[in-house]
Amino acid sequence: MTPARGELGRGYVLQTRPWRNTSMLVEALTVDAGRIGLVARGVRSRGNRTRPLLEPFQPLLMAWTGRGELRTLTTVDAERWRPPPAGRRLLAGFYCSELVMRLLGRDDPNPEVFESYDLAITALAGDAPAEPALRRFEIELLDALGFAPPLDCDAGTGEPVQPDIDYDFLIEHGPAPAYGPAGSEALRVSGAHLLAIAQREFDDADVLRSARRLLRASLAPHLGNRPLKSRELYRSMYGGGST
Amino acid sequence: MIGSPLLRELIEALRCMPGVGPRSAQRIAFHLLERDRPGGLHLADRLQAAMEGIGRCADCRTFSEAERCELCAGTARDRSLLCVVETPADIAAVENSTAYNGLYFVLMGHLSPLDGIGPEELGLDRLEERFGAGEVKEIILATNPTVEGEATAQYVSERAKAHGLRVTRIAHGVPLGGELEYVDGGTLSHAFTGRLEV
Repeated sequence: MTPARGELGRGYVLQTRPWRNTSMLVEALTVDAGRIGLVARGVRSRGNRTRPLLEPFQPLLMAWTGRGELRTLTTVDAERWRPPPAGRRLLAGFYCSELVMRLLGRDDPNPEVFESYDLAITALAGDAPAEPALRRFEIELLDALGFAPPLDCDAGTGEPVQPDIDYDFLIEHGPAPAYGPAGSEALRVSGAHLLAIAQREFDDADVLRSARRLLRASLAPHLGNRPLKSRELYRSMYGGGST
Repeated sequence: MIGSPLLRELIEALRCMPGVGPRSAQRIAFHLLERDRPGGLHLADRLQAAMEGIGRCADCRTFSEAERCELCAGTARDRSLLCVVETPADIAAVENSTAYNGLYFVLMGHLSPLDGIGPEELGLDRLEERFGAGEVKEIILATNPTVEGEATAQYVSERAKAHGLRVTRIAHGVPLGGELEYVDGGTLSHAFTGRLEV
């Protein structure tokens, strides 16, 4: 849905690229219209006061006209400038944006995706722990896109997951009671961890580790063969680690 | 469009320049043909020479017809300072208005994970060779004040620090002659974080 002309809606800039002499192409994630392409006319001319706002990770209010492939940005405003995530958190922010670019198609309004992105970026821009924020974003993104398998019930029987037994997590299906030695295809996770992940409780370091393995494996089939560039960049800067 | 095939081709070719649309291209073509044929020939000649002769400096990667550009090959500059910029145009900007007396390294872009541009695509291994060579003591990060520029600065600074180099970032602040009231929030906020003792 496109808001009425001139009506401001919440949005984030995901990516920009220069266009023509003074304009810019903006890929935005908006609460009302989902991921959309916008032309920001004239913003690259000298002394333009809109350009500094059109940066990734700034919570914005934006309005546009037109529909289809390329709309025209008419107004952009920010209630208050917020410092973007810094250091490792900046790369984590790029990771969230890259997931949205790869998993959410254009012109597919999905307010849940917007809200979870907003929550994740706000956490990364502040000083909340980054890892739980990323895991929450991953699981909510999968959920909002309808890709999330059940975590709290047995994929075969539908019985509730028991905290005290181990499960083999089957990608795109869900947990099944562990059988035999841990194999390479299945992810072995304790029932307690599955329940914690389902509740988005990431206070425990072991739960976080399980969540990271499980969510990464769940995202993989939807990402295709191309590796995530932000993940590569993170690894080349900081070695293995938390994204 | 009217005109001979050659004229049409000239107008079409002129449009490869930034800011030149069909009307400007036609105006330029007619101007050269009607009033300045020697100028047109000179332009054609210089274009040919420049397009074929200009490559990249082996050290800083700016445009140069020699293997090393004048700055890198010369002896007048302080070789312990290395300023990292995104484009050759940034070198021109710094040269024209600052007293900077060190050398440069041109990244030819910035890190942009969403565009698939990582350290390999930027050829940052070449920069790292400079870090390791021992000549450079201080890295001055002059990438653009955008999140991508910031990510790039961060990457370069991590690598430089791993080689034990001093790393500085150019200040972001209120433009001269500006009025605080009209300065955007981000710039103002940077100006406050980066305030100096007087």
